[in-house]
Amino acid sequence: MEERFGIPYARTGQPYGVRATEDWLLGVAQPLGQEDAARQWVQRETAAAGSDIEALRRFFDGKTALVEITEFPGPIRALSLARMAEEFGGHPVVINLHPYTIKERMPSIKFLLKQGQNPDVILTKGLFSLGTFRSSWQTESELEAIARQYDNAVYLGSPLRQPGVPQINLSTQTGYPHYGFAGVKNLARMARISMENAGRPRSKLFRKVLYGDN
Amino acid sequence: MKTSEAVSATAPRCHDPYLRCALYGAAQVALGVRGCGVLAHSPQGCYQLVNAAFGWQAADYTETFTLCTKLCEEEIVHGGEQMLKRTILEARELHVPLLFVLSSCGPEIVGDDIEAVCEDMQGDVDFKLVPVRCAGFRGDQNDGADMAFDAILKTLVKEDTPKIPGSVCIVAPHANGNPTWYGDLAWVKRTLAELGAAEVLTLTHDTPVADVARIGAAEYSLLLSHDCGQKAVDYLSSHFGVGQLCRDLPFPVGFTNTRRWLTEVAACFGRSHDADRIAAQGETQVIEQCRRKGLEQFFMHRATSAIVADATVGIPLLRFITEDLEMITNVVCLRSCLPRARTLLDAEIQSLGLDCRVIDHADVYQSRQAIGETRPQIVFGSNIERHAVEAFGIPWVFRIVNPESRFRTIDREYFGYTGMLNIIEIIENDWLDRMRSRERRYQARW
Repeated sequence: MEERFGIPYARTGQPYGVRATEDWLLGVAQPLGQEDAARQWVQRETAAAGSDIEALRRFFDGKTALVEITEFPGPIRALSLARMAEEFGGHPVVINLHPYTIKERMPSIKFLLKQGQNPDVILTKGLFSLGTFRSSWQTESELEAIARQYDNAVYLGSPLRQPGVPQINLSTQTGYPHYGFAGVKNLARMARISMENAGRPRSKLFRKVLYGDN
Repeated sequence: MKTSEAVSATAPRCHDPYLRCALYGAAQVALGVRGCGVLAHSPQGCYQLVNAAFGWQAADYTETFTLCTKLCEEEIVHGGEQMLKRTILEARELHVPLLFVLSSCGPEIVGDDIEAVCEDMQGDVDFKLVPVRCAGFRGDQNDGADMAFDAILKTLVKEDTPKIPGSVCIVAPHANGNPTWYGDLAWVKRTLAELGAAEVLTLTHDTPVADVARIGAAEYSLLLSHDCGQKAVDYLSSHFGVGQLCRDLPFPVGFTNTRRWLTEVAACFGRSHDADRIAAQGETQVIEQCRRKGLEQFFMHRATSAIVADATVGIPLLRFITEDLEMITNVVCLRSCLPRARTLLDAEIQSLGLDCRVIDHADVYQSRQAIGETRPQIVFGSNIERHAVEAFGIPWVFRIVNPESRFRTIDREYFGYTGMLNIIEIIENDWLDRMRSRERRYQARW
């Protein structure tokens, strides 16, 4: 559409966190000539989200953020979340980008890499084992082992996993947005709950439903 | 004064109750006696409560009867004892073995003495008269149930009946927010039989008069409500030596509660191995069923939640949704709260390591305020909360307690393992329901 009709295309990542949200808004505002208004709006929203940004900083700062997207294990969300973790002082490690989806999303991945993102990536054997990926007990056990290797890990991903460290439910099947400033607020709320409840055990029901007797 | 200021200023002095009055609670208990008559000495408006109680007990109108003195202005001013006498005489044509006479506020305020009238009239009728003073101003529906239990135990239960070894008297099964609580009662009866109970009597649901008379013969009592009935159980204990089972346990909702409940009941009958077997089979059934049918866990994990329910459902639900569904409850609003129930709830909150705001004897306004202030992601409640919290943008309200605005012909228990699946099914359906567009549905109709 850009080539044929001249429709401007905003090339940005997904708006997780403050910086990516700003990029996203400016990406839309610039072609529309609304850059100043967008900057003012971002400034106002950033100031209003002060305590939430602080909560996210407490959650991520100095931590290793294990990022795993198990529902639709696409690399774009993983890379976007990795960027957010970095923004708030975390060291992102992406777990299991599926090769198929990497191939499909190559142009987007190249774009994100050009933006300076280059997180560590760990691929585990579980990713390549037969069976349903999200219910793979092998991946769960590998993830738990990886989390144990860091003394300060946090986990961003699906509630299907519970590696025993503070974790944020980044499933898309929740009732609230993750994007933009509303997302910052929701993610901060989840980060607070996560830190307060990190020691709670995995439900026997959930574990056995997902992973059988393993 | 703005409307919002007026609401805030008057809120402490207003009451927007979940619970109905004592007349309703007494009628619920009375209508659990199969084949009896229940006469409301009241205006016909109050009589609607007796009709509602009739429905809650799922009584059969071909065998259980309700009557009303239909008091009007004159009787409310000058007394309605003559009207009551006349109605008692007319009840002879119903051929019931027993007639409960329940008084409402109006006649009690003007001084009608239903006990004296019943005593006077007893010789003129061939059925037993049981007066229950249960005017609405005497308390809420749970107090009314206790008043009716008291009347039944003191007038209908025979003294010195030989004990029935291994028998259990179930008390107050109806005082349960599960809209089809009959399912819970049926599960308890089945389970007691499986664990070796010789006979089960019920106070009251579809209970023959002859069984009511034998209740003192039970070896154990089992209270099925955290909202009322403890006084009846204590009376059974002190007067007839009936020992209470599971006195300080939440009801069997969820893995841990069910296992603990089964273990304690089974220990009384020397059948601990059966409790272990039932628990193991039940847990496997729930896990396999969830695996085969699918369990949407995504929205549950660490989701903040509020429980607005009666104590009977609300207290055991807390452990179920915390341990088994991984939610974090931060508000509990109980429609009632007996001291024992509050102690139990506090112990559960502490044991689960929750930081929970608790409102007992909550009314609708208080629950709504508490939910508005804490903004949980999920509310477990009724159709009332579904509408009450609409303005707060809370994604999900799961309707698990009465009123739920659904028609049911099949009784579905919350207790035990199928009960877990029933609750999960409600959660999953209400979760899906939120994805439907109200606007489009409305437009489609027109």
